[in-house]
Amino acid sequence: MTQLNSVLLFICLLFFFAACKNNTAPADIAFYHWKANINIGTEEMKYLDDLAVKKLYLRFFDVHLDQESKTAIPISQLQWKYFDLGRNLEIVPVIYITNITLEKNEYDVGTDSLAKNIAEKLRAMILKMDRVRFTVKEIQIDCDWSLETQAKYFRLLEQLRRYMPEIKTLSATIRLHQIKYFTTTGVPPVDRGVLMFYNMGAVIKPTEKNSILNLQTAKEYLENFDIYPLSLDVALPLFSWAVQFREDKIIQLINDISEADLIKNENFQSLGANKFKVLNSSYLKGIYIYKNDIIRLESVKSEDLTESINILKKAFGKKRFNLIFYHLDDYVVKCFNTETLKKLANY
Amino acid sequence: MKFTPSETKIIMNKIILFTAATLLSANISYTCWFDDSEAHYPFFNKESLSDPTMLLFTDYSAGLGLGYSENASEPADGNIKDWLNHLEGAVSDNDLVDLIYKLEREELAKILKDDKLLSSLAANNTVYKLWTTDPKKKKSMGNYLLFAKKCEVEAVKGREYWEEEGNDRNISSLKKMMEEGLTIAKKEKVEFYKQRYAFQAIRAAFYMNDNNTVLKLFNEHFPKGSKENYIYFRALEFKAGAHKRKGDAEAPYLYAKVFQNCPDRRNVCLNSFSFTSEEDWDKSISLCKNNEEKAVYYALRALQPNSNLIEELENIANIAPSSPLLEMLTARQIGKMQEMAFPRYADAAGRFPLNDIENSNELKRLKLLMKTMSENKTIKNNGFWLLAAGYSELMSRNTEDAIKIFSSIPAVSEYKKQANVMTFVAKICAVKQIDVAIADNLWNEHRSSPLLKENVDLTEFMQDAFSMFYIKQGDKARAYLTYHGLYAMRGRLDIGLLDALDFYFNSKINKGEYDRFLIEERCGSLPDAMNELAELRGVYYLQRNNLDKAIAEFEKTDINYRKQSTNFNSKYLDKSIWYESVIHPYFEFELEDQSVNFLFKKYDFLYQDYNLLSYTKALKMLEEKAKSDPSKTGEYHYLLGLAWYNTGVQGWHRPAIYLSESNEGNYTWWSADDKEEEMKLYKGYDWISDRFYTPDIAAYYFESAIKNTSDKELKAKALYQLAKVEKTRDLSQLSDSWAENLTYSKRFYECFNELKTNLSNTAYYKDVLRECYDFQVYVNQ
Repeated sequence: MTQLNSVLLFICLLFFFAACKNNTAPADIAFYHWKANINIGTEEMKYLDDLAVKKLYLRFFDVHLDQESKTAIPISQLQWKYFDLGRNLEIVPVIYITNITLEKNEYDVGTDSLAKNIAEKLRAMILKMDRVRFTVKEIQIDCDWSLETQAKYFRLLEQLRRYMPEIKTLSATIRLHQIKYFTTTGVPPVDRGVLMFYNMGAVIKPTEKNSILNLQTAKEYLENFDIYPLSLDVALPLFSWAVQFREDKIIQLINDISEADLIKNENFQSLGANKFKVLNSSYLKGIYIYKNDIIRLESVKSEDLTESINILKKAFGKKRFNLIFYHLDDYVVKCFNTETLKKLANY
Repeated sequence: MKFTPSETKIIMNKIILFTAATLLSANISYTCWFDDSEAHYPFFNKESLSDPTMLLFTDYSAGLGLGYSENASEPADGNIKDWLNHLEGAVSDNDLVDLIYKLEREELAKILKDDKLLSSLAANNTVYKLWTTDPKKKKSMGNYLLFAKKCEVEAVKGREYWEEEGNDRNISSLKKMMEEGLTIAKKEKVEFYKQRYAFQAIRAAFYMNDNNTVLKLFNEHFPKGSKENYIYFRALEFKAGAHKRKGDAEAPYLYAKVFQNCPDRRNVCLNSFSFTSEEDWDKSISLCKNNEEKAVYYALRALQPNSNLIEELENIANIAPSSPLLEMLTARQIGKMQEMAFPRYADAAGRFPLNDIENSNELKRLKLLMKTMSENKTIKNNGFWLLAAGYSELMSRNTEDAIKIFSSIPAVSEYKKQANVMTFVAKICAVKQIDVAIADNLWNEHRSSPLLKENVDLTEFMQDAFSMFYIKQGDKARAYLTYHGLYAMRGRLDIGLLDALDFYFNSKINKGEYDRFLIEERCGSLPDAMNELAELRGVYYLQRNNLDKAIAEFEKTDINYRKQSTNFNSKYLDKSIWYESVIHPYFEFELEDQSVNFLFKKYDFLYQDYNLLSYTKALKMLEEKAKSDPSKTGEYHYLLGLAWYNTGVQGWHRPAIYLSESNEGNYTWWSADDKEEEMKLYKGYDWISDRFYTPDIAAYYFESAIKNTSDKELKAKALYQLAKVEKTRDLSQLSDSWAENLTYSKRFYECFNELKTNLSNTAYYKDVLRECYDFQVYVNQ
């Protein structure tokens, strides 16, 4: 009996440690790919392998309102050339829908036909890409819905599920305010949510320091995570952009700009604190900017990401969340080594 | 979620507009992308361009077709114009449009084959008529159009937005068309058709993605020295497209050429004109043969979203000050600035121009440039430049200089009328503080000039400007009357405003012409105004149960007014106001059909027709009766409670004291004592949606009735009616007919409890239990 007890004790301890291990297993890491032209080279593939990435959230197209016909149309469709993903990577098609599209759509007829169109186009696109080895089990919808469009958006999601019964998981992006005020903003009828933990600053304000990751603002919204009805993953930013101002008014965002593009460029003068003045009208990454414009460079540092994780850990409490980084490109591969990201996942 | 580059552009457009609205505290609509002159005063009339084909670009934006102004006139169809020239005006443009764009190929073939059919159609169609008299023309036109319509079928193929497959152009069909076109072009003797067949062949090659063939065919069929006519530029556009696909520097140069010469293809060229580096730009612009061609480059760059328009204007003015593009861009720049300077419905107390625009660097640069342009007498259309210069000064708040410049425009100039309108605007903007004399001077000048008087925007602007002065100067009465008649106040009576209006109408303060206009326009006449105001003041006090003051005000109205005014003698001021019921009726037929007990039958002193005065006196009388006979206090206070409930939010008679204009009324009610920037109320406030209501008056009387009666039936009634009153405390619950788990005040439940516990043996209790669902639930829980 003593021997039996010892065996039983051993087995219990084994289970106990296994459970403990599961509780502290690193979070899964995934990536968004948002560009219209898919370009994942060997460096990016190595990067994904090192991070044991199993999922790639691939933006397939946006849905916007055509100004002339006043109908919803797909734009910026993913331009797909054959590429070999090298291994079985789960692709999650993502469709971004602008809020104004929903506003102008009729609740029932409009929303239903939009859902059908999205489903059919997605299915046709996936079929075309079939030569590459990947599976589609999940689709994701990205839409920053408002109170006015809530009913239509939720209906769209329900209808999409109906038109795509083959999809096992339907997920949606969620913003911070939609968790804090979820009793008002509603909870989308999906299986999972992805919290967009970025762009919470006031990008249009000239005095904003960094709108990509303004943790001060983020802290004001960290309520109700414990009771939010959906399971959530978290999307963190790895991108940078330049915010262009003219006479203190925001002109546009310029993607993929780094300090290196500006610091030794004779057309720019550093004003300190991530701001630059344009000395000569010229092209910057294909965009013509004008003399006396002000460029505010915004990027994300590892320390900010670490602090983000700490903040989120507190908010989520015992709940675990996986990480999805926005977004995969050569800038990210250069600026964020895999060890940094692994540390974040090991929270 | 981050945006794609194109999406970023779209969203940034909206951010820019949102920024303008929030940072500049002005109500500006989406005007950067299309001219919504509903949202601002469009004093600078963009239609004054000397080249009307440029009008579209005064507010058009490149990319995704955004900003296409529905109001802008499209340039005339160049193709139709070309055909009309070729046919020497022998046909009408409508008939040509029908033939070329609407008639099906099969129909055309029938007409060409069947002379009888042609003759029958000729009576009503100038083209067919021409064909009956000129068979040669019929043949060449007909054959070409048959071919073109065949090509068109293939050309317009393309996928619907949501399709992933299907309806792509057929390469072998395109090849056949190209070859056929080239064969016919070789044989064709008439240059007009020869070029057109060649054009169709070039187009087919383009759609086949055969860029080299496009270039080859263009060079063959439109060699150097060819007449640069319409079809030449249409073909050139395809050449530009082929070069663009190849990444050649010629592409933007050729698009710029087409833009310059082909008005109906400009927006296509604009959307195709793009660079990504200084190197590309320099390489391409070096192909320009002269400054006029370079000017087009700067103009096309200026028309891109997010461009710095003033800088591009300066670039063009430096090298080609006579370029016609400058007018268009100036109109565009001024259009953008006047949205900020002269917004409609601005929520501000101040002076036009608004939004601190005089301190804008952009405006400073524009002013300088316009000065240079207007002083350069070699530049054509000097009137336009003087207008622009004057307007820049006006927006910079240099009104004297602006007026001087406007007056220098000759009387015979087509811009003189606009200048005169702008002079008047400048005079208004020059006012720092308004008084009767200033208001009258401006008003009289406005009224005496048909040009000014008939300008609706100007009239509205003037009133807008006046109202802002009055608000700033604390002149409540005039600020209010600028926009509203007295009737509009009914929904929200404000004693401060009522007092100000009282003073304004009644006192001997100086009133001028403009005042006379305000009073006539808004109130009819001064006596009418004073009567209506007395009524409003009376109702204000009546709503607050200040009966003596209410009576004093009502007695100021004259006898005729009391007889004739529909509000003073409202049908809701009826003896039926004295009724009791378990469930309140919402509609007149419910009042008749339901178990409503009209109490005027019991109390014959209540049996009378009422107007506001007599009704208020009746309330007063009941008060006095209640005071003088303590044994009846409960009874009379019960009656008063009923009257207050029946003129409350749930009562059918609520319009009697302005609480609603109809029984399907608005339930958004809150106290007029809410703190707000008072003066803004008088500008654009929605008077209808905020109304005074308090349940406390009715509650007071029912409480008193409960306290002062020993009659159990009366007590039961008073308790129940009090519960009904308590129910109206939370109006948001009342308006939500789907609301569940409603909760009411503590007193509500106390009333129900007392009714259930102590008064269940009364007859009234049984009535309530039978008719009131809430009470049934309460009793059975």
